[in-house]
Amino acid sequence: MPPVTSSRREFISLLAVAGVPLASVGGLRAWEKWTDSEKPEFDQAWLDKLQSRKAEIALIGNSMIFHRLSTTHLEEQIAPLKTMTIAKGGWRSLAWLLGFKNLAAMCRPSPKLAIVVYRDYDFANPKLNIERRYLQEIRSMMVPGDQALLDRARDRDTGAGWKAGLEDFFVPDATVNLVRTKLTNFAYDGASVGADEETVRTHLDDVFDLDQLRPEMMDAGGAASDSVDEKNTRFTADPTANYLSRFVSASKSSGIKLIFYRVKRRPGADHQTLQSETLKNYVSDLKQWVESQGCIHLDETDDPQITLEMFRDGDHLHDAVRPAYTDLFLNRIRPHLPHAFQRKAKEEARP
Amino acid sequence: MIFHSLEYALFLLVVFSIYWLLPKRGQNYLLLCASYLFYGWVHIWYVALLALTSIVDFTAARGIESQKHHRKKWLALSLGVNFSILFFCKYLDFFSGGHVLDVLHAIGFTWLDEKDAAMLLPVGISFYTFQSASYVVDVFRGQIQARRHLPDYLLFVSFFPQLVAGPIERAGHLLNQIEQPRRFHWERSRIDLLLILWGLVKKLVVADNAAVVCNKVFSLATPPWPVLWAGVFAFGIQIYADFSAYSDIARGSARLLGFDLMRNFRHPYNADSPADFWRRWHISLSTWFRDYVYIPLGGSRGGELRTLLNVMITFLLSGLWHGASWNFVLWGAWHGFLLVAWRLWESGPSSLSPQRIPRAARVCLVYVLVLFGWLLFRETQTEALIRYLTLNPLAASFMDWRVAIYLILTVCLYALPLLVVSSLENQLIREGWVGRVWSRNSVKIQVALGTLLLLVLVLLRSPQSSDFIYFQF
Repeated sequence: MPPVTSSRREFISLLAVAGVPLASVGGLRAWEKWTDSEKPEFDQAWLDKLQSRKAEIALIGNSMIFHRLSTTHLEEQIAPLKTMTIAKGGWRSLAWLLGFKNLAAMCRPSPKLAIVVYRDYDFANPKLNIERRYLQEIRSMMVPGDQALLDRARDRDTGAGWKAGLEDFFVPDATVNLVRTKLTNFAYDGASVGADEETVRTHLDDVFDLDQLRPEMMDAGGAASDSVDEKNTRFTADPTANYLSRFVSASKSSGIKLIFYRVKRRPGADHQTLQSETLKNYVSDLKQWVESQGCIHLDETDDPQITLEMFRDGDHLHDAVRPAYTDLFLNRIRPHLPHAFQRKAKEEARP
Repeated sequence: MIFHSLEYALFLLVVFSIYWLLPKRGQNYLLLCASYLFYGWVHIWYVALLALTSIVDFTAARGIESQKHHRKKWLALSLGVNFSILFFCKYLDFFSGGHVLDVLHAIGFTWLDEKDAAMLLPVGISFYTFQSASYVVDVFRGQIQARRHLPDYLLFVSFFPQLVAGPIERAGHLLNQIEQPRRFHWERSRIDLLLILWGLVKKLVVADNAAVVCNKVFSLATPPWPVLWAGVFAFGIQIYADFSAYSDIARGSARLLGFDLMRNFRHPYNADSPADFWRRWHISLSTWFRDYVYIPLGGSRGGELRTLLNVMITFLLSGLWHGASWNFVLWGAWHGFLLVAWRLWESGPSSLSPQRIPRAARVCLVYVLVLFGWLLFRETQTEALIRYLTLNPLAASFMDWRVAIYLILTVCLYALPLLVVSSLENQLIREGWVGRVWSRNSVKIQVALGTLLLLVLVLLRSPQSSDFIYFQF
């Protein structure tokens, strides 16, 4: 045994240096939870805003909606039908489910049709994009009883559960957001002396616009869907493995027709998107299951009209081609649109 | 396994807890196993190479000592094997023009695919190769004796706190400590914990937040001139915070186990000449190049011209050490040029000597010159570099300048702890603050400092974390 210069006092001192900071941070988090406990986390204002649109169609997804579709153009084409968009950058299956179940389905009047826009394996990985910023957004859509959905996603992977638990215990999300927002605003204030802050913000967005990226960045950007180890991907509808069955049950209980819409990923020079056999099998099984549950599955992957030139960065499209792409999208969903549009289309078709 | 992961925290806690229950010999075996586990976490191939390098150098050093007539052959064998492995793993891609897989297939490794080729370069290979090679050279020079106990030597090369990104230790320093019994000090452990925490703040708060700005700027095809330089400024902060964070966590971890590693940084942006910068930046590497390249080349003994040539050769090699890419060679050449030019400036008329400029102005000048070097270091594509260097500052709009100010302010806000400590270092030491914080009886100050650092870490940690930059070298 090596010689040790210890004493009870020094041991306590070491414990204090290690423990007091941890306790302080944990205390801040506990205080945050305690003060937040009175407030519902669900964002009612968001629901009210969606409700006021009185839309018949809900578009649910992520940047695959707002960097590909032109909702203005879509609404012009399907008038008098209206759309509501429930999508934020990076959202994946848990956020989509909550957006569908707790926002779209809770609107009065509720939409007749919901379209969930996805890429490849998005439904196979329920733990994708559920932490940090996404956690805030997910919580703002959660109602009592939904915590189990989040917990399940976190426990899907070995280690993810205890790490998420630690984060929950130690990371004071609200304070983090407050401090970061203050710092960002401070930097904007500093840069905007003598000028309009909004103009600086707009110019910053212009400087870092996706169109300004290097070509190689454009090839790599937006391709965040490749997050599943392909070797281990076999389709399953097991409710403990993903949220697909919950989408279906929410569709049935709300009476909203549900479309799972798979977008075409960035193609190669021959305008074809490379797909492995595993992926093809996965999508085929997914389609079969979705249709057996009374929902609809649409896939534009083999559409030759969606060409490489239309793509800007990763899977995002150039602004100029969004109306044309929207027309292609509309052609696919047209047979499933609510009756009001079908009637109008028939009337217009009459001589 | 990376330092800023929960896995490493648990790993260190387990090793630390068992370590101090064992006798010295047992401690070394534990550390050896832990180090190989730490390094082999990603791929077993890494461990095989590490063991091969260590065993060859251990044997060569024994050979140098025992077979005096063949000592040069043993040295050549050791250096040959070390640098062949380094060349094969690190520079083959560079010298084959990016066709490494074709070369591997041509020399018989036909079963390897692209994935295997990507695994070819083990993290930290340049660090441990240099550390191990320096031992053999020191034995050859008669500065130290060849060791007879292989496990101690294996531990010297693989010691996990400094294995992946240094500091590059010398046998006379670290190996001696491995062979001596260590004592545990409660009060020292408190400081070690704070050092690790400070390293984590530098990495996760300062470096990773600066990286967000820098990566955004360098993803643009043609950023406005002021925005580009705001990005370079962010990179300057990022690389310093990132690398010195690694060194701090390494030193803190090693100290918890009773070892002292050398300091690798001494506030390099306070340097008032290029030579001073290299006395403060990556000290273990710059002293390695001084002792094993510059001095054997003749150092400053062969006249002014020869000295300048030696400086240039040393810095070109130092650039190449950083990576198999032309931009690193350029970066090395730039620093070599700075040293040469500064030396010529100093040896010119005394009325024009840099010493006549106020120190603060010299520090600013050196900082700007170093910043230009970071642009060469960061940009790996020659076409992009040329595009950046030909940007016209006058073409930037007033709004572009405001955007650049916003980016710089953002970086400065997150880097505030580092900037304060760097700029006030001398004052903090002079007024006794540093001594007071590290003092045995300053438990309250240490608790307060720990709480402050942890709060900063938790509240300001970047949402996007990345590997340490120097892992790739």
